Amino acid sequence: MKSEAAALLPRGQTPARRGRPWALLLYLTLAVVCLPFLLPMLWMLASSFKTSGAIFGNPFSLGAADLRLANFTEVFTRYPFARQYLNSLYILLITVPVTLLLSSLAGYGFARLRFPGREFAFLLTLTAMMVPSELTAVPQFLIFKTLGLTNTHVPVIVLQVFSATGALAVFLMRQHFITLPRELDEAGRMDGLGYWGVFWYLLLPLSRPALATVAIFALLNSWNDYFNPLIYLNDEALMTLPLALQRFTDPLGGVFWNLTLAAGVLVALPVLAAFLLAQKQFIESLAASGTKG
Amino acid sequence: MKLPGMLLCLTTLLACTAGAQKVNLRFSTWAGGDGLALLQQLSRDYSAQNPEVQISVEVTPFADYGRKLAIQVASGDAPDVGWLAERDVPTFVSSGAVLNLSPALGKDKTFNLGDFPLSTLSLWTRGQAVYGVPFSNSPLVLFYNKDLFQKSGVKDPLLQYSQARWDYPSFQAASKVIKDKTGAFGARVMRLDPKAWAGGLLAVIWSQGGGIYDNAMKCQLNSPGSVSAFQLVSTMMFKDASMPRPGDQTDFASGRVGMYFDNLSYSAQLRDAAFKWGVAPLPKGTAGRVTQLGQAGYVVFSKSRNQAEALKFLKFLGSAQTMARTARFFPPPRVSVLKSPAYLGSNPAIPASSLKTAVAGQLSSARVLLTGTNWLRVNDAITSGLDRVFQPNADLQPVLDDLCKQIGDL
Repeated sequence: MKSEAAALLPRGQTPARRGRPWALLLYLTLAVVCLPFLLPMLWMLASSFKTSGAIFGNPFSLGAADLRLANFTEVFTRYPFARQYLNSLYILLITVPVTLLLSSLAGYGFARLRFPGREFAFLLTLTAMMVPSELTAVPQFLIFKTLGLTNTHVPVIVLQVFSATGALAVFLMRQHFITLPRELDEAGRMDGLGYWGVFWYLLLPLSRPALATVAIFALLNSWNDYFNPLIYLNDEALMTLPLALQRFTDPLGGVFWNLTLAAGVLVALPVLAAFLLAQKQFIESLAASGTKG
Repeated sequence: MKLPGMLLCLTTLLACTAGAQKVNLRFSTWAGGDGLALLQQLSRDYSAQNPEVQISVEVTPFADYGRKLAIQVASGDAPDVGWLAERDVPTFVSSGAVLNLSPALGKDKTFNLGDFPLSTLSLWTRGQAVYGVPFSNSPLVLFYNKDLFQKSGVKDPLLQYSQARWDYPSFQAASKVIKDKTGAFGARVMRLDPKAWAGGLLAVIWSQGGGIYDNAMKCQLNSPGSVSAFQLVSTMMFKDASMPRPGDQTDFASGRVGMYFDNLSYSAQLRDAAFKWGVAPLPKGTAGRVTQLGQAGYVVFSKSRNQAEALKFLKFLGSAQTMARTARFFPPPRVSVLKSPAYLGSNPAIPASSLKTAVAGQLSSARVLLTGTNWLRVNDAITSGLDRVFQPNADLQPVLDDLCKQIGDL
């Protein structure tokens, strides 16, 4: 194959060398397209070190005088930011595995098991994605209030697992399981596996890309969840990071941008790190779910 | 024991149990940092004086404070006492979510509602009913960069004020000289957030005899006074080039703006300022020197199950003694506290004489923006309308006529 392709090129030119100008143009175009996404992040990073006055003075400058860590230390010393960081982390560590477990089980059920009302139950699950959270806020609040669970993390975790994110996860897993050949189930059954065995030993190991997609959505939605913590949490020490970012204001709501942006960098870092570490898996999983689904 | 005797014993027992029960009051706020620490301390102090009452302080970010309160009220889970922001007052009062305090406060001589000037209560009053007690009464003041004034050789605004020369023509002239001699912007009247245009620009409009609404709540943005205010700002932006145009993010804290209108609480943002600054009264317009009050107040929610205790706690929070303690963070509406040497000397960054002139001296002509329940939509319409107003060579009268028509349709 390689020699056939090389034969079509002018003498002395390899495929890589021939494609170089186009690649350069492509990279330039991509770099320009990246700018609108990259600039706000760079501005946030540069501003997180500055005093409030310097932030709007010369937005992208970062001289030696600007490199001060006072904003970062103040975020931790004057506000319960460390506690709020831990809150977000532990909620994430619960919601992501639970979402993965429940969505894969529900997706398997909807894709593979036959039971009365299956399609209706699936449709009902999908409605969680279609109804805006503001509409269901009051009845949900009344339920948690009756159970005495307001001002705890329970509603934040439960609503993350069972609301729109959970429904999307079930939908993704169901679509994935539908694409897997039924012959796998039959082979498993011939070897003596039950429904659970087929799910656990055969189908789940083949579902890594779909599970990665669900994990990433669950992670992002849990980390960025603003509405549920806003409604259910009253105690500053129980707050999660999206709420914490809104707390750096003066008594009349004027924003302390230096503190907000320093905290913003700290909030964005884990998500950026997770994406950089798992970007290959992420892109593969999206591509896989797109082509097979 | 006969039945009446048993009932009597049971009733006495229940009454004793109820008497011994602690009342748990929920107090809602958006305060943060040191302000929150002070409120928590005040709550502990109140519980120490009233051992049967326990206060839990609940915190919500300012941005979504009204939204959360609305859900809590709708779910029957409203707090007992709380802060209420100026922008949310019309909605919560008209929906009956907050309690009329006048029966409890009106005749209470110790509380002395008369200590609050009428201008500070207008936002919270409907007829004889008073629905809230302001705790923060932050008038717009002029922040000015002393370094830029010195470099450009313009007279200090406080000096011009003392010579009765501090008016809008002097303001415009000072702004232009600063721009010409230093290259920095001379003045900024609007905040960075376009939706917060009223905080600053409205004081200019009022001082020229205009306004957003007249007494019948009809749009007044196209009145001669309003047009002349917009014309002044437009000239400073496009002809003098001494004021940042909409979209320009140069703010006062950067040190590249000579004068800036904002509430007194903005001084908290100037802690790290690398230049000398001061505060002065706003300039005088053709209709007087009118400044705008930024307010927040204490309310008792109608659905509170402990209304009597909630009212007592509100009286404690709104008392002169407590306001003297909170004055470090919130400019006090009580005249007795506002003029006290303790308050005037409480802000190390602002000399007592400046505070007295720029704050205490302006309250008699200060106004609160009174809006209807559709204010959010009206504000959106004005915000987008200002894009057409602040254009080079814009014909202001027809643009503002059209804006008023839009507001009337809402």
